[in-house]
Amino acid sequence: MPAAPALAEDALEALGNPIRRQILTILAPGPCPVGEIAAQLPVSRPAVSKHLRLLQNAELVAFERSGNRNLFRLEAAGFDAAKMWLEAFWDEALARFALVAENTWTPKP
Amino acid sequence: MSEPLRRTVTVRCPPEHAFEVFTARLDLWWPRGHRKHPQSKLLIEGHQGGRFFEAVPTGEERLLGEVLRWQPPTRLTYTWVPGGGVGPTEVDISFVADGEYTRVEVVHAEADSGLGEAWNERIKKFTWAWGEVLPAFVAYLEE
Repeated sequence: MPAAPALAEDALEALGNPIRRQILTILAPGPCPVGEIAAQLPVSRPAVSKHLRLLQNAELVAFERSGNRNLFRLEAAGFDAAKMWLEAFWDEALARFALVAENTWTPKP
Repeated sequence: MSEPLRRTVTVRCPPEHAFEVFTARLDLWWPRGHRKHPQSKLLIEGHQGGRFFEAVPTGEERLLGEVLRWQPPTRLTYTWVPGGGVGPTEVDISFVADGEYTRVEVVHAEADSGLGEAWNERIKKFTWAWGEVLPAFVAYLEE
């Protein structure tokens, strides 16, 4: 991808994995400790931690401390980056499409 | 991201030509860098169930999506897995005649709703998680 901002690329990559999408679904209703996330997934706790690190790196989730609890929650930045990437893609694609379509069309006299 | 992305472009040619360029000459207008390999060719097979794929010079074929609706010259719907990982998403293109112009309307959405008969079980399974996540996220943000 040309000029795919790093964050958008990270977000798109992160969203490509079914376990990570499942983690986002679990977090959608609200913040959740890692133990509760892991309990709902068919993978080991270290694997869940690894997925969470990737999601954090993509800014799709964030970590927060609430009292003595460590919670994960959804974060908007990664979602926004992915959306902006797609918007930029279509702007470029349709501009190019219009050029090709108009330059290959000869109206009948 | 769960709101569909909408884009419109108006081109000076009839829908038949716009549809033909959009599909048969996809490789010509698709942004240059958006390929696994710079020498790849992008192709879309012209029938329902047809493949949207990248033909890599080494002979490898990389599946990018699948045609759900093939209705020349007015409508084209296909799934697309953009950015090398995310997905799948659904792209719906309408070609609307307007005098000597054609309005090309793009609606790009998560493939989360309206799963019709064209969807086989494999795709349904694949789309499930994706379709759940983003609407839930938006609901969470709006609370």
